[in-house]
Amino acid sequence: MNDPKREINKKDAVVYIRGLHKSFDDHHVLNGIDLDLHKGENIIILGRSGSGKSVLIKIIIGLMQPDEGVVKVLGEEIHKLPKKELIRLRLKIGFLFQHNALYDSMTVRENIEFPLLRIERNISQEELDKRVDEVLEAVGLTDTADQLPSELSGGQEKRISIARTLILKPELILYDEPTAGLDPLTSVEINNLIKEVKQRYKTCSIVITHDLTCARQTGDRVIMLMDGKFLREGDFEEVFETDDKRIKGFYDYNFTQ
Amino acid sequence: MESHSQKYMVSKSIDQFFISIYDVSKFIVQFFKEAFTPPYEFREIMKQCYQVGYKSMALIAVTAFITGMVFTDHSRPSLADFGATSWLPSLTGVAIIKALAPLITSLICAGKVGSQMGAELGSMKVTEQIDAMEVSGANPFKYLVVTRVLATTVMVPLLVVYSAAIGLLGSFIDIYSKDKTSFDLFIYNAFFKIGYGEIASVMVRSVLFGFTIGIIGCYMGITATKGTEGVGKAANAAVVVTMLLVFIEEIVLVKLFNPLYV
Repeated sequence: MNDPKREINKKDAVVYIRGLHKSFDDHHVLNGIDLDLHKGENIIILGRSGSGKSVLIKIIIGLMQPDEGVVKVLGEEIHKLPKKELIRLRLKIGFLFQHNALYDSMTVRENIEFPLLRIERNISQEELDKRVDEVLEAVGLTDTADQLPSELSGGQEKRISIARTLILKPELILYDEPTAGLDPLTSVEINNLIKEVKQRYKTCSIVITHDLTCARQTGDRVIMLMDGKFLREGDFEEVFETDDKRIKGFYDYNFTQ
Repeated sequence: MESHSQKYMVSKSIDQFFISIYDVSKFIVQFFKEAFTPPYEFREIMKQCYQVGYKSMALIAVTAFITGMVFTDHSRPSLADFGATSWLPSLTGVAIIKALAPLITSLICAGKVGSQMGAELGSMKVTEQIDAMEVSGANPFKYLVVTRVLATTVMVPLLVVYSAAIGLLGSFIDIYSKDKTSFDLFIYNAFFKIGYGEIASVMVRSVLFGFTIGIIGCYMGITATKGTEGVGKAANAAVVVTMLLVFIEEIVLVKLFNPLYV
């Protein structure tokens, strides 16, 4: 599955996964996943709902434990790290939740400040405001700072969620279904934002989605996840130039809806 | 066949009961570990103290005032039969300070604060807000649980003092409306039968009640599952379990402390 050229560069891999297995009771969700993510790269993992995409990125960030396999993030085996080291590593990783997970009792500004205040407790108010305004400007929502998440639209919530991950200047961003539940135009705006973030903040990312437009617009490399395994890998066109009925079916379903 | 299935259900419930006790014990141990390890979330602790203390004052004032007044009113005929109405301040003083104020305050806080914590943390859990805190490098246990438990542990004893004062005021107004007793004499008689040790016992119980309200409310919330249904169950369980534990603690501590003062 993995390109030999990439194997040579595995020491440089931001995310390095070999032989990953995960089951819930008798249900095998991930069956021997191998993955390399390199600096500056946006990988798309495509798959149907329930195919294990979310489980995969939750394992990458250490929210779930694998049953078997090696998972290295930024050179460290995330599941073997003590708590302090895990927290330190997570500061370099941004995670965008499918339903945004904004803290609903806090304003937008407080949401964005929250992670920064946990690690830079003596930061001046001036510096804090500057950093918050900078990421709000990056996502194009400078006028929402004092609003509550409940006062935002779905697209705005998604942008604020991205802003919250950017405040810590992550090296890697994991996007869980970034366009789920959004209308087509807002989805395109979010796709453009993902590309802008990559260029402006020099991040690499893993985007898991079942939205082919998102995959085509934001991905450098696309991987098809089915039945707990990666079926195909390559650029968007390459992945769908196949006679595999499951992949063709996935493509046709997406573009006929 | 049916009896086998019933036995299985009973054995499963017993297992679940002991598993829950083990889980809560682990939760309490984690609380003490995190509570004494820096960094400390002072701002959030103050915010939670405001939520638990200040925002409960009106409800506790109304309840304590009515309880003090009604208790005094109901006690009067029994004492009047023996021509002992002059003992009313002592009787109400002992009842309000030693029993009613800590219990009523704790039960109100279990209902108001415990359910709020169960629902709030449960909702944060099922909407992945707690996961979001974890992945952003924060310590959700320290930020959400430690702050809330410390707030209830500190504020409930203060609310008990406040509740006792308002309850005594209600009692005084009822007595004054019939006997025209002076306030100084009422207070002197109300505290006549209460020693410092007994006040210390009330405070120790209040601290424990406050800790119980916080820890159970947070535990139920943070272990919530299954969407909105789970949030409702967490809030409900927080109230029911806390109230039950408060009564159990009350009887155990009263039986332990009372022999010391008799």
